[in-house]
Amino acid sequence: MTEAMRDSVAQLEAVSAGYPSLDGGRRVLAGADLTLAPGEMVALLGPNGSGKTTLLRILAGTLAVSAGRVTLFGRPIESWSRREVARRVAVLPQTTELPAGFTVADVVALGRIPHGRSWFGDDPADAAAVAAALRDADAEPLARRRVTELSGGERQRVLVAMALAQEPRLLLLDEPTLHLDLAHQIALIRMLERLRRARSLTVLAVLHDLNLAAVFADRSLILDSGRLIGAGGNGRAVDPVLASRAFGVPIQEAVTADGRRVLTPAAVHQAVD
Amino acid sequence: MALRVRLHSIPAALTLLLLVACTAPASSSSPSASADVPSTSPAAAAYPVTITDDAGREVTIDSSPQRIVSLAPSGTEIVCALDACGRLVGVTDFDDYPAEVSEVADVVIAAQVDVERVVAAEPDLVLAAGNEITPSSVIAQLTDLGLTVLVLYPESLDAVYADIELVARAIDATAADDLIGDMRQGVDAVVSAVEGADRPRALYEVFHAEGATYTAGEGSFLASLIELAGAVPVTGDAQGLLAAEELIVADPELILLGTASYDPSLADPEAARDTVAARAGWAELAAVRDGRVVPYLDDIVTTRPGPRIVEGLEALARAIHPDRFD
Amino acid sequence: MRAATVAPPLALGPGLGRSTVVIGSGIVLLLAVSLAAVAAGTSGVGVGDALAIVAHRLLGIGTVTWPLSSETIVWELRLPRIAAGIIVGAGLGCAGTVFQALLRNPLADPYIIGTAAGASLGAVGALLVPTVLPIAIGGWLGLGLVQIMAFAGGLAAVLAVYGIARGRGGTPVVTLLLAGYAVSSLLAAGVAMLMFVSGDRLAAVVSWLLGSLAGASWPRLAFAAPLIIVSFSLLLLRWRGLNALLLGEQRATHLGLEVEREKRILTGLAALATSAGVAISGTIGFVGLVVPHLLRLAFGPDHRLLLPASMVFGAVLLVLADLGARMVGGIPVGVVTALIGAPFFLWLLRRSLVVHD
Repeated sequence: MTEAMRDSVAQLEAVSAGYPSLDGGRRVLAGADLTLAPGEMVALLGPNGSGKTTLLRILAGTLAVSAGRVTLFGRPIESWSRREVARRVAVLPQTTELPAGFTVADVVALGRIPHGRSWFGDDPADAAAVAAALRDADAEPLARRRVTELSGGERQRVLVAMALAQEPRLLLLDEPTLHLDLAHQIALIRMLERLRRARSLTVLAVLHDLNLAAVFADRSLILDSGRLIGAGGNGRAVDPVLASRAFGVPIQEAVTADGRRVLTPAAVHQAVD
Repeated sequence: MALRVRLHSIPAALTLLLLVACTAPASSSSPSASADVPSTSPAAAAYPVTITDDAGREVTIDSSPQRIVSLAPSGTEIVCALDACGRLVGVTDFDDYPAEVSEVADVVIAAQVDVERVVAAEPDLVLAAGNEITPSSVIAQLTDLGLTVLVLYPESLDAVYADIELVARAIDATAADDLIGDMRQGVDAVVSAVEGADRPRALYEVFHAEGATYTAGEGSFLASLIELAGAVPVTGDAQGLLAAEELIVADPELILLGTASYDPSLADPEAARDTVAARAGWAELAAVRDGRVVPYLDDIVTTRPGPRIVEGLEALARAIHPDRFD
Repeated sequence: MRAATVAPPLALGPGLGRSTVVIGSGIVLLLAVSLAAVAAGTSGVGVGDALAIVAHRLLGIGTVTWPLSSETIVWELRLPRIAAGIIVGAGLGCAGTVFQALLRNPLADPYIIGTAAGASLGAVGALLVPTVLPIAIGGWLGLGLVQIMAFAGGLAAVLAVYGIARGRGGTPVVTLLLAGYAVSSLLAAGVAMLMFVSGDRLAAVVSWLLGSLAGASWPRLAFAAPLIIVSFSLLLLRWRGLNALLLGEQRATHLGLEVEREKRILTGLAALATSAGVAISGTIGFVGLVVPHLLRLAFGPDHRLLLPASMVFGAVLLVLADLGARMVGGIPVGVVTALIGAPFFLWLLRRSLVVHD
């Protein structure tokens, strides 16, 4: 095991994986490599069906790979039990539905399940973790509300709080901005920034907005034909050539009034007449 | 039977009492003591008695039962016909004969055996009915509680006589021989009255609904009674079910509506004939064409396998051959 | 920068205090209902006598002032029925809650994946054996052939349904529900066929299918009670898994739950409790369906409280229903639970209580 491997939060080496399908197995990921360093914020981009969610599931330990090696916190991922993984890795899924009848605080408390020790669950450590999670996710005022009364943005914050209650070191987000308006998207990004510092989190987020990725991430990765391609980072826009190839549409770069580079699709109107 | 259950049972207690009474020194035995206990008559030697009931169960009765529960009307009638009506402490709510049984508490209500009431009656003998008329689970439950249960299910006249003798032996009654003798005489009288008469094909309707007719089952008790009454019974399968097509092939010449005993709308012969003729395929039957559809009002005595079965036989013969009876 | 304010301690979940009150009240209610059931019956055993008999047999206090028949009635007839009502009611309430969480379906009840149909086929088959084989098949440990076949049939059906629904990636809940429906329909057809040829035994068959505690006896309880108690004791410890499953299987996995293993364990334990209950009491409906819904409405969906509450109040409901059944002419208790349960269920539907997946 190399030094780098020991320090890394997660590592994929030549990983192939995919959901079994009727035609005998579609390989969604083929020979993908990835290393996540502690404290990184990484954006994962790519067209639909390219395997982003598959990748997240592999990192969360819920999907087995058909080839290659997956390492989590320095150990092969198979050596962790499901509970041990859940104590270190939290996933924010795409759907924001929550079971009816719970208050926000109780839903967030579900995040303590991997840590659960006492029979009745009255551990003060749990209460403290939930309180901290609510605070960090800006969901404290919602604590006693019923989940059925929440707006989409509020539900998102509750789900973030639930993920934080797991006290993870790695946070995986699957299209967290999908249901949010612009203001809330930016608010989420800012929150993740804050969390990264406050909790020493490593964050991997699947995003569909190329420009948001540039703002948000230390690194952006594009999934193209089952492989991960580094495409930018540290405030630089994603490479338009790589993006064009991955998404299959011409993408060009533009410069905003304040000098930032942004990407936009080119030649949208050409086929209309 | 588990010994612990036996020790709880009243027959055991009574037996102990009897033994104590019988072994008391002769000089100290008082007239009043022996009046309660039939200790010096030959009948005392009859107990304990082991009887094989109609379900094949071997039942031992330790002493003369004084508290009898009957779970079916036929059993009640047998007990009363043996002059032991006074010993009944529990009957069914369907019991209607003789009149004095209406004074006795009901332990079977709407055909449901109330086990609690049976136990509360503290019987030393329970007469049950076979073929699931008293559910076998109830019989098992009563036996497990330590009660003495005899199951009766006679399927012929001879079996009725045998059951009367069986009950008489169980309860130490003496009227059995006379009763059976009277019954045999009654049967002989009916048989000779209808001798030589034409024997029509007769359908006894037990129940009819939606194309299904229930009549006497093949080889059943009811079928044998119809034969004795001077007719050829049209029979169904083992449960008495007769399919419509088979009924038409059988073409009965006489229809006895047992259902008229319970359905007032069939009491009038005209109305009965019309109702029957309206059924699909029935209008072509010989009985309907010849107007021989008879509302039969004596279903109870005809189908209750007890001492009054001879009255049922007589009613059948009267309905089939009215000209042979005045 | 504001000074940090001390927030009041956050109450999580149903709370130990509140839960104790709810369960405690339930147990008190259960005791009260049980005492009422001991004292009530059709035979006129007095209330005082009935209670004195129980005290005498259980605690050895008091002198015998009652007839032997009263003692038999209270100890051999009423008390086993009440005990059966408690045990079976608790098992059904618990199993119903588990299946509703596991299958994420508000219409789920303990019988939904085949237990009722399998047990019915076994029991009805056993009921008809005497009509085919002239020999009487003796019981074993106080159990008749009917109880043994019902128990075996219930478990066999669940095994079959689970086996059919199992796929490469696990056992999807929807497949489980559909397989349960299909297998139940097939077995029900078998039961219908047997009913058609049952002849004189039809009344006994119908009575069993409607469910009744009339046949309860101490030996039968000795068989069913340990199984039910063990299974719901083990289920009580698994409340975290049940809560997690409310989020859906994917998210439950992310929270550390071995979902497929958990589903197997939950199904197995709940099916065990249900089959043991059905073996001694027939297929009593509505208890396992309505009790969890009502309790969820009253106390919330957290299984920490919902599971033990569904056991206690399931027991209360069944003992009450059996008391009603006994006093109204000995009708099968399944009729009473249907009469109580169906209107409640309609009322629940109108309140649109649905758990979102």
